[in-house]
Amino acid sequence: MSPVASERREAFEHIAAIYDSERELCQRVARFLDHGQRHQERIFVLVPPATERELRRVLPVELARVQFGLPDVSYAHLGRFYDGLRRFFDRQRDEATVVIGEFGYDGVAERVSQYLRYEAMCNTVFASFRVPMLCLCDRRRFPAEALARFRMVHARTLERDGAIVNPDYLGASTYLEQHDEVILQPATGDADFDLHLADLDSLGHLRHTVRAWRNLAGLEEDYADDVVIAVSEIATNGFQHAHPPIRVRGWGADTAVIVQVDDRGTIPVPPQVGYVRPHFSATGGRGMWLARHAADVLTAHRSPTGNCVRMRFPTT
Amino acid sequence: MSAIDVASTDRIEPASAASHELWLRTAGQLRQRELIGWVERAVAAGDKVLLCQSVATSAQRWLAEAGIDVGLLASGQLEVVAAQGLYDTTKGRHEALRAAHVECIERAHGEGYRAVSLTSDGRALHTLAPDDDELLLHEHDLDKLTRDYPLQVLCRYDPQQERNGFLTQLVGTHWRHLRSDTWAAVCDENGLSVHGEIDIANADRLATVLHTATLDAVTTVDLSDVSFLSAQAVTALTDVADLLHRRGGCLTLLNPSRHVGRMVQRFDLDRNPAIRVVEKGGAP
Repeated sequence: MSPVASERREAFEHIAAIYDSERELCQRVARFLDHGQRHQERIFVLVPPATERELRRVLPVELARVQFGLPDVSYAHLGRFYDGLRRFFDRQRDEATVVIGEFGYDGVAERVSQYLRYEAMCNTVFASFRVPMLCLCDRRRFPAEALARFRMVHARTLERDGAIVNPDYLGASTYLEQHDEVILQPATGDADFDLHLADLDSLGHLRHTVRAWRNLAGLEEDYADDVVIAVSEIATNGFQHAHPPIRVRGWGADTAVIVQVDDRGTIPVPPQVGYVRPHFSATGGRGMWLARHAADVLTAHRSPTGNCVRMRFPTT
Repeated sequence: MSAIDVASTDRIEPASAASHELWLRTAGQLRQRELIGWVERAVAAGDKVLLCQSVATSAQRWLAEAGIDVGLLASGQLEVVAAQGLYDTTKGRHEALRAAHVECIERAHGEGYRAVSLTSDGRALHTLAPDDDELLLHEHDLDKLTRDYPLQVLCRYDPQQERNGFLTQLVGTHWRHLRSDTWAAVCDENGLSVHGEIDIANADRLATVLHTATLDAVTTVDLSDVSFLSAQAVTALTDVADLLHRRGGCLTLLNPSRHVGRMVQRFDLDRNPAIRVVEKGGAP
């Protein structure tokens, strides 16, 4: 048994807590916080409403230093969530901080698999932040397969008596290369646009088409701009790694818009690309990072003819 | 897919003073109207206007079709110059071309014109200097001539007809005033500003503009009218900034547009010691 937090934390700590009752949830969180080093720390809690209700009961003595929610940081948009979390950790560098998070499973299979990919990359992406993050998982809600993968992406688990090294943990590369489940649902309905880009000069036309897309009408300006950025960057990647034409299609789903970019590339998109933000004077690597964090879900697939990248952007 | 509907560079005002301007624009009705506008402004300013064409007769027909007073040809204020003729007398050597241009400016002066406005399209320029290296030297000479004489030059190249490397070099000789279908760069008394959308298709040209500008001690670029910056465009900015930083300077990004501001924030460009970001109303 190792303690939840060492006296001086040197690195990001990524701890999973799986529960199957409200009592267990509260017990785990209390255990996480009940530590000699915790009394100075600010506690940030990013959880679904039902979990928040429970935790408000268990955390009364702590409430003064507890904050529920962060502006613009929500699991409802995974790219924004993990970029927002990184920014938040950066702002909190001088203040002892702990984070409790819970991805509320919402039945969208590609979202849970994207969530798990981000979680697998956490130790790499957040390596420089000395923050413990407790990730809650309600066993009753998570599909069994997703739960098994949830175990694979956290270095430690919080049990009744404290945090232990997780024997199921896999490094990010092993997880992403061997255990990730990339889901590509069939395209639903007709595409609102279907472009075959012949050359780099047509990227301007692509952006114009996306900006004028009626499915983006009414969305916040910056949000629509993010869709334009992501689509433009992925199409650009297509030109960089494959011969034209690059095919770009967009369609509306229930609560999201989907854009798919197909190219004739022969080399698969490396699974770890785009998670770590390039340094401010990096000479490349910005495109995939931009696209990934502008989208809720970004999946790369091999198709019979090349590479296919699909992006999901929530619209509600 | 050539119908790019990006009109953001069409509202940029033409050069006000003597200048060396580059249009990198695909052929089309809109471009023709703009050229007519340029000719009409030069005529109205009282300049001697020289249209250098690869085929002289087509220019005369073009003027008539454009509704420009063909009487101007008779009066001598507007003159069509055959590029082939200029090649025959100069053999496409830039020194000889420079001498021919100076002679032309002095003749116009002798005729009583205050200034000369000269425009050539890419075909004409390649006709009078078939060797690309000579042509680039000629472009350098034109650049210098516009500073030494009351001369305004507009070079119009069709980007689809030119090699990419040649275009990048052209951008270097016209960095103070260039317009393309999707973006523009203007350096005037207000400083250097970039307009439109920068992506992988033109990021290397933006880098050339910025780099050439720094050689002329221009290290501030206004980005208030930039509506898109791709990953490659951000890299172009940071590359030039890093180069300046190694020489003890920094690149100032002035008045970032909303989109540019978001890219600055995303990549923490304002934390880059090689970059200074100055918002609207901030200290110059």
